[in-house]
Amino acid sequence: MRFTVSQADFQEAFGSVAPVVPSKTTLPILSNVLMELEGNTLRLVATDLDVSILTEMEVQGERDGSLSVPAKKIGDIIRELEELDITLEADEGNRLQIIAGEGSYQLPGISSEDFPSLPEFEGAIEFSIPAETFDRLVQRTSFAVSRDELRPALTGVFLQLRPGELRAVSTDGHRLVRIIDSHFTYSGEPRELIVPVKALEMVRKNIIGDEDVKLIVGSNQLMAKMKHATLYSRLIEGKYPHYENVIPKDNSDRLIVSADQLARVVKRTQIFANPISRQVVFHLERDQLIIQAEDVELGGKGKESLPATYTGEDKQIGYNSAYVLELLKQIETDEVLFELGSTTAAGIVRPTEPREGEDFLMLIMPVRLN
Amino acid sequence: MQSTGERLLPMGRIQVLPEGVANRIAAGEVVERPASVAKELIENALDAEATEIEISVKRAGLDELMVTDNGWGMDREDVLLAFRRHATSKIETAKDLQFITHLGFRGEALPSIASVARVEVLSKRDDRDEGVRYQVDGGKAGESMPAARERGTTIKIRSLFFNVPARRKFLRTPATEYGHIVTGFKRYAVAYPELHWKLNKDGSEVYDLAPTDLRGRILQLFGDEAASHLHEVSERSGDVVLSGYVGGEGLFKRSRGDQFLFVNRRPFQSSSLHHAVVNGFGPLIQPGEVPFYVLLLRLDPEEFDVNVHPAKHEVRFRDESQVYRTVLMGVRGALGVAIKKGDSPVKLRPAQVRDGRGYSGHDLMRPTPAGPRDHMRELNLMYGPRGKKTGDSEDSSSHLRDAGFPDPRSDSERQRQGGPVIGFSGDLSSTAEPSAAGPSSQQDHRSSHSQPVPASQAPLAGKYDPHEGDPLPAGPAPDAGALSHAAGEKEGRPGEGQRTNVWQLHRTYILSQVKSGLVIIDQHVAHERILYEKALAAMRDRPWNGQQLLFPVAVQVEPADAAILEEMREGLARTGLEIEPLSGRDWAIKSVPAGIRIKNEEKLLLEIVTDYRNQYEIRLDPQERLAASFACKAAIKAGDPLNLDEMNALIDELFLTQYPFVCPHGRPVVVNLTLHDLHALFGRE
Repeated sequence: MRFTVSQADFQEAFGSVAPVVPSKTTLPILSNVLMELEGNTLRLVATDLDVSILTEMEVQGERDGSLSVPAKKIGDIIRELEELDITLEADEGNRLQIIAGEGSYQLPGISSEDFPSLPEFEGAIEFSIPAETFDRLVQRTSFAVSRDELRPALTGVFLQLRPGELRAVSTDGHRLVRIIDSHFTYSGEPRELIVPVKALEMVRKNIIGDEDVKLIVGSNQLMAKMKHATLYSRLIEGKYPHYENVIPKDNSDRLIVSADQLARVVKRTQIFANPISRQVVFHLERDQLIIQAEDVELGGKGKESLPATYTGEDKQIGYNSAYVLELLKQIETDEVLFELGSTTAAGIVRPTEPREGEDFLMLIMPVRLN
Repeated sequence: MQSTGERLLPMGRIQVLPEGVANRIAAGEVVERPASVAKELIENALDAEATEIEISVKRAGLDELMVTDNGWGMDREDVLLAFRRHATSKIETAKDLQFITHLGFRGEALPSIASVARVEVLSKRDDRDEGVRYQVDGGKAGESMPAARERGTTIKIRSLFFNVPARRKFLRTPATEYGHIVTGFKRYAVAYPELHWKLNKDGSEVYDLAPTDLRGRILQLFGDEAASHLHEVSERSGDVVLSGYVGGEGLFKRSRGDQFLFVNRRPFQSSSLHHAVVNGFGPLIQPGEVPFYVLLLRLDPEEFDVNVHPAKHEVRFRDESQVYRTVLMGVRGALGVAIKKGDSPVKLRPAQVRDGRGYSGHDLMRPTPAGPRDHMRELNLMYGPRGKKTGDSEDSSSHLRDAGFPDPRSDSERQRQGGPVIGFSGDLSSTAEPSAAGPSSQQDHRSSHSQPVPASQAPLAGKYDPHEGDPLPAGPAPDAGALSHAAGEKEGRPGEGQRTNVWQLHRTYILSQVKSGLVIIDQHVAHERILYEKALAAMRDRPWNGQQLLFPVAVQVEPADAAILEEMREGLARTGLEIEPLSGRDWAIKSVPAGIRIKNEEKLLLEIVTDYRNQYEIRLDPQERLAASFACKAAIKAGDPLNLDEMNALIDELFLTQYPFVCPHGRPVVVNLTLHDLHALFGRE
């Protein structure tokens, strides 16, 4: 394998696959990026076995061939190079030679034969999502997925495909996000899938401009086609919980407050919360919201009130401040609406004005105050 | 021997033991070496109720050993009698032997000594007008003659073993022999802190110990640094009363030496009780390390027998196991209390009190001038009496305040009130500014929010300065200040409670730089300790908040375990873990303890049930068992990654627990490598 490529192009292409490379792995080959040259097309592949990504680029090919090379090393050197064009060449001993102006660098690779092959893919369902929608869906949902590997279903984003409607849901059991996009152009059979959050994040990162992302769903896989890259992901098996059941129907107490101001008040008061539980208490009173935090063990407390519109009974609800702040980050309107029920039941958080064609709500579970 | 004791009594105070008594005392060699001579003479002085005892040695007592006291003194009859074998002023009949409370009861000391040395006595009895001088040379009595002297006795021993070449041959070097004398001197000086003690060596003063209390005496002998390592022991079990001090890590030694045991003020040695002490330290002490201790047992003279060996180093107790238990419990209690006060016995050394004058140094052999005793009194005030007097009304924070634990609630308060603040030298919470910045800039970060401290008080509020009074010689090695500098600058967040020089190692240990070196914390057991105490507190008085779950977690248990769940249910609910029976074997978890990263609620609950079921620790009550199971299973595990905030919070909370150094199962939580240890590892010292 031997080719010459512009340093900038190569760096860009490399940068789109490199994030898939797992930072820690027991399988050394997964730390590598596969390079395959066919004519003037160079293909770069990275995988962590769950998620694989492939990108192709034009190079000046001289000799076809392939080799896998350590992603970290090659990323580092490419970034540092100043030459416009660089030549990469693999030798018989699986070494990669990088020639850039007066510099020549060599690093050991691993034969491409040892690199995991891309999954055989047979798509059954195909649909497209506009880049902007996809971006929003992922951004709104990814923060709330669970990190609990023992409950894999919750570690992904739940997608429900219905004719004319796409729902994306994520939850870690303490909070939940549901976003319904009613601009969805889909006319096939309803389908539900749980996608690893990493796959969605990778697609999001690789979207260029306002292209549509084409998604193809197989029996247990998903393929995302973008202009410059293709991503394959295993789907998470398992049953997603019946989230609709936990969305309260009759939370009649309504709190409307400036999202930005609330976030700033919570940020301030939570400094005085116990650093582990990070609990803040919302004192709900007519036309006033008091946020209070106290660290009983270590001492210190904070309290601040802010104007709010509240209709409902006076009450106190405890929340994990980190959850509150994350939720508020997702609010694009000036004000945020809380629809609350009992002090131990889920509260609904949503923008005061829904976006056109989008139904967006979040749930937050309180902390029972003893 | 003659049975003339009773007849002689009105004449002089020294009596000759009735023969029966003499025979019941095992004959033995009393005089082994200069130190044993010194010991005998000291005991005589003590028996004479002296308040000032001075020992002077020349060439380790081989040339001359002199003991001067201001006790009763002797008149001529007393002196003559004293040099007769088995003359003693202390025991009159065999029956009295059972009630030995005096030290030198054997009455054989002076004649024995006199038989192997040149002895000169100068004494004046308090009720006589003039004194007496008397000489004995290798047992050959000389003339007694009147002499002038204040009340008291001086006994000068010269040319010890001059007539026993064999014995002389077995003596060690003067340095060794002197060492034995010092050890003996210290024992008595510690046992009788209310007396004035002096030790002179070859014409120069080594110790001049003004009367004080036990703690003060320890500081006089071992330097003021010892203060921060001392933990008071106070224990009573039946008739056995134990008091004294044990030393924390800063006083650990590699070999024995500074261990003091007394029974009714009589020094003795006991490997069994030494074991009890070490056992009491448990995991706080590493194998090979020997703790410092001064322990005084008080018990009925009938309960022990000192008449085991003529040198009287050993004591036999009637109920040895009770004494053992008392010592064990006493030491544990002391360390427990110490830990509760935030005044850690191991590794994390509380800083010395600042008195504005700096420290008097740490030369163990150097007598402390009178001055620092004021500061010692302050210390006593700060530490306060143990437990009993602190009263129930005080909350735990006041304990912490008293002990100078960096209690965020009270630092500023304390400073406003003035007075010394005992810092925490292993201060994990400070990012350790470069020490060159001076003491005032080393204030506790927490106090920097508070009112300005008057300049005169600033040093008091300062943190322990690594350069001052640190028992580790800074030497040419990089000092703590320089080391922390780099780490501190990296992510300096001044004024915030964040330490940045904290690292996670192999997702198992937390490493943190402290001024004394490096602290290594086992993250799992540390969290377990925290959770255990929290869970227990939650069950007993302050229930924990429960993070409600969107999806109640269904758990299926063995039928036999359903009963256990019922039993645990209320306690668990108070820790925030609410469970609810659904039907038959099915239960639901409705909430989890807020602030605990619980990965899998179902697994947690099942593990708690199993652990609880399998616990056979009968000493624990059900709440403690539940707390232990809960803590063990809910705690973060080895392998869990922690971010800086989490590590900081863990450390903060750990040091707010009662026993931060031992996990509920008895494993160590914190290990410290002092700079000294590190330097040693790298051959720097």
